[in-house]
Amino acid sequence: MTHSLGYLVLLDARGGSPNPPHLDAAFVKLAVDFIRDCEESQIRIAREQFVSMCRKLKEQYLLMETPRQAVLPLRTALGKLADSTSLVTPLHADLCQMCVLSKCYSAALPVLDQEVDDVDPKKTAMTAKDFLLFGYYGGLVYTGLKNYSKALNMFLYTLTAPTMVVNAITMAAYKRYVLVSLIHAGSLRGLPKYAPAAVTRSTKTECAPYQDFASAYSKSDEDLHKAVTAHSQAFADDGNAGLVKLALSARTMRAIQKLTQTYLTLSLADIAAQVGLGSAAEAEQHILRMIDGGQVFARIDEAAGMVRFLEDPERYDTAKVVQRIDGQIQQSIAISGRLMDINQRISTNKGYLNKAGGKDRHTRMEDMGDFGSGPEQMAYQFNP
Amino acid sequence: MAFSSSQLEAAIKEGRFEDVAPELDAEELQSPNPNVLAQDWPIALHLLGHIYNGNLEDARFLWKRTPAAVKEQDPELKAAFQLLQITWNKDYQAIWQALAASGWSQHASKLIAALHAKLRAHSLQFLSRSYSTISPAKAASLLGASEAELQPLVEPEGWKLDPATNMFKVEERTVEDADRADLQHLERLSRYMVHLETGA
Repeated sequence: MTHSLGYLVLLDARGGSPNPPHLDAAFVKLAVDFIRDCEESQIRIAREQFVSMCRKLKEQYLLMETPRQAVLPLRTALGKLADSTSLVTPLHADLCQMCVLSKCYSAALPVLDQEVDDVDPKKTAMTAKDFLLFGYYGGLVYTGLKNYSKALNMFLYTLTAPTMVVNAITMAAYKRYVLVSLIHAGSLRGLPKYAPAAVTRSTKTECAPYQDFASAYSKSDEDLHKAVTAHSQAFADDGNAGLVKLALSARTMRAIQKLTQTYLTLSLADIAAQVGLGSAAEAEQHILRMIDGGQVFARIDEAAGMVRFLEDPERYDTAKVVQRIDGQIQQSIAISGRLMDINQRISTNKGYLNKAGGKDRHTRMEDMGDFGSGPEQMAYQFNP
Repeated sequence: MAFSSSQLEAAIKEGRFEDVAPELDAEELQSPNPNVLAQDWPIALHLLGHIYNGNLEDARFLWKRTPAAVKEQDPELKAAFQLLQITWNKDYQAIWQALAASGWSQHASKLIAALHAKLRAHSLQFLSRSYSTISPAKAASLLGASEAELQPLVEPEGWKLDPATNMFKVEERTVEDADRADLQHLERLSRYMVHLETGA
């Protein structure tokens, strides 16, 4: 299409104001066709309009209650909007939202699994709210797919985004962050130091039930039970009752894992007693499941009714491991290269220099110069 | 089944069962029909395909987005869902009964047979890791075989029946990795090392 730009502006106008919402089947069809056929270079001139047009399309699908159909057009649009896959676009959040609403969680993975490390409002018409939503919905997708470490990472995007004021998205993300980290790690890791002070402060007041739950989690069963019953209404209101249940059932697993640190062999009956399970047979079931899931390494001796805990049999000398290490190193090199880029961009940024200027401008400039010989620079130049 | 993608047919015919679920996922996303799952969708096959690939979360979400009417009408889907519940809960003994249930359609039964073979191989390998001794009765129930069928099944794995206790002894095996670290990777890793050494 040679006239993509003009067409886009017309189409965006055709989408009209979202109020009052009404169905517009013709617009949907035109918009979907346009997203498929449009010229990338042209729509990038008018990013705001493009994003707003995509949002209107999304609204239409929501009105029709068929969020599933929005997934593919949004995924295509997202690819056309940004010139690099490492950029977060405003449509990331919308895509994840549609995937969650339509329960097609995996459909977001082709986009989410791409490493993103840059936000550039000039290149993508991104706003702060888009970024917070991206972290939140992305976290939801990964939580749904039980990829907890990635989910935590996503929630952290939202929680650590620099801000002076706290909003509801951040708080909702924090609630899930608490629960997922209990499931994944067995304890709540505090927010990183670079999280804005406003967020850290308000989590204590806004998310009290979750803080309570997390601190009871490492105490006795009785305390935990009390915390759950006291706050069950709050959990249910937030739609987090399922995650709370998962966190509770993960506790049995943690208890068995803890035993491996103390004992080399233990009878099934003892395990059942220590962990608080009904019978030896039940303990056997649990251990079988954990061995299957790779959460514990053990061998059961049925004749004697004993379990022998083993070390991790991985000896880290297979081709697979080397490949993984190699991949990680490559990735690290690429990331440090991009980090250098960003560093350089900031150090030449006029606004930054003015702010950092004044008396210590001289020393700052020297600091920047130091990067030249630092490890980042080395890795950046390294090109095997 | 009104929906009959030739690719789907081919995948089942050629035994590429791992392609079934991704194929149907893509088809579903593309469909312009808002209620695509409600109308002649091979839903049980779709669900089984996810189970076959071990993507239980995907299978669960497929079940969640299936319209209630379909859930009630399709007995095959119900059976497939039951299977999902069992695999989700890792109920190793109940799996075999659910798999053996009759009434699978022609396509589904092929997938079920493949799933059976896959799960059997997995269970065997995983029991060899988890037990040092195991009674024949328990092994039989965990592997979904009768005790008579058991012997030829477990012999290649190195299980030996101890007549004194009537228990299988499972030899600990060190899994020999056929493809050790290949030279190309080692070379690159050593180059990283050299770089770090000289750079520091």
